[in-house]
Amino acid sequence: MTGGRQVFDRATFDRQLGGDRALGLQILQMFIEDCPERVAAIKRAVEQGDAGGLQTAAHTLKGSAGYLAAAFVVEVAVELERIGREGRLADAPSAVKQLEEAVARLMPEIERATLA
Amino acid sequence: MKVLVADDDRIAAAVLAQTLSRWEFDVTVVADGADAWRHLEGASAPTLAVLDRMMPGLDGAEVCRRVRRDLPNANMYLVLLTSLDSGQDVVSGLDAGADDYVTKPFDVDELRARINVGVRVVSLQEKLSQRVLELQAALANVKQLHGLLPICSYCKRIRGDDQYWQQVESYIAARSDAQFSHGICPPCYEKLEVEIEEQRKKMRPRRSQ
Repeated sequence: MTGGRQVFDRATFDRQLGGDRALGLQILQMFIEDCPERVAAIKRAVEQGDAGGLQTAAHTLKGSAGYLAAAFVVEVAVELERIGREGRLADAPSAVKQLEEAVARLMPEIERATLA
Repeated sequence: MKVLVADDDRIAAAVLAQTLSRWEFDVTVVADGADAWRHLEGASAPTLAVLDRMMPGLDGAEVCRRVRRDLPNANMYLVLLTSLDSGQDVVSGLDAGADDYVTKPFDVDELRARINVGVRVVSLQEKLSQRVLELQAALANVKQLHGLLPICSYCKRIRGDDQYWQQVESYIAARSDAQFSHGICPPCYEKLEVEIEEQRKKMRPRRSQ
């Protein structure tokens, strides 16, 4: 838990996949592969001052992380999407830092889950 | 039943496709709206589609709009995948022609319930279409007689459009599926019997002469 926000809710994740372990593993591996590019797309959009791009990139990460029941990453992605939608790019750097922290906490848990 | 899944997020697409396959649907997955539209307008189109609201190019709502505009007679149940925090997306999606929506990440029990509603609606629609086809086929075989028919008060012949006077039975038989079995009704039989008896009486004296 991170400030009341769960990093990775394994029980919810398993339940959502109907207990399909093979699918669970596939999804976790996809996320491990895709997450760095999703975060990079968000950072690129912020650096380029591209509010629309930030909104889209954050929306995509929010969607993927949602299926993993990764509440902390979802929460920060929702905030970044809102910043993009409202064009408040000045608020983006601190949110990006938060995202990096959330992802840094999530990845080891996911990697552990792939070995379980 | 065939189901189309359209989502540009491969994680969402994989979860949806596997979940629907587990429920024994025949699932096709595409990654964008243009591909989704190609499948929906194709010859062996699915009857159920789960479409992401936000996709590059054609988004889910636009796909719904095209289906309703260009395929008005298609029996398709369209479910939009929307974000939890975008109520406006739900309204505009339903206005565009979606039948229902599911928020992402979907709750598996809710998805199952909503997909079952879709299956029920599509099946009911199929049954209704089948009944309409049967009724149309039946109607094509029914001929109707209507209008004012000129009929002779004495011989009961009817004057047709061609100005010829026809026997009632041939007139009706030519214009309907009715067939006639000939017989004699009791009042006519009584009259006929009297006539026959009179003829016999007339015949007898001649024979005895």
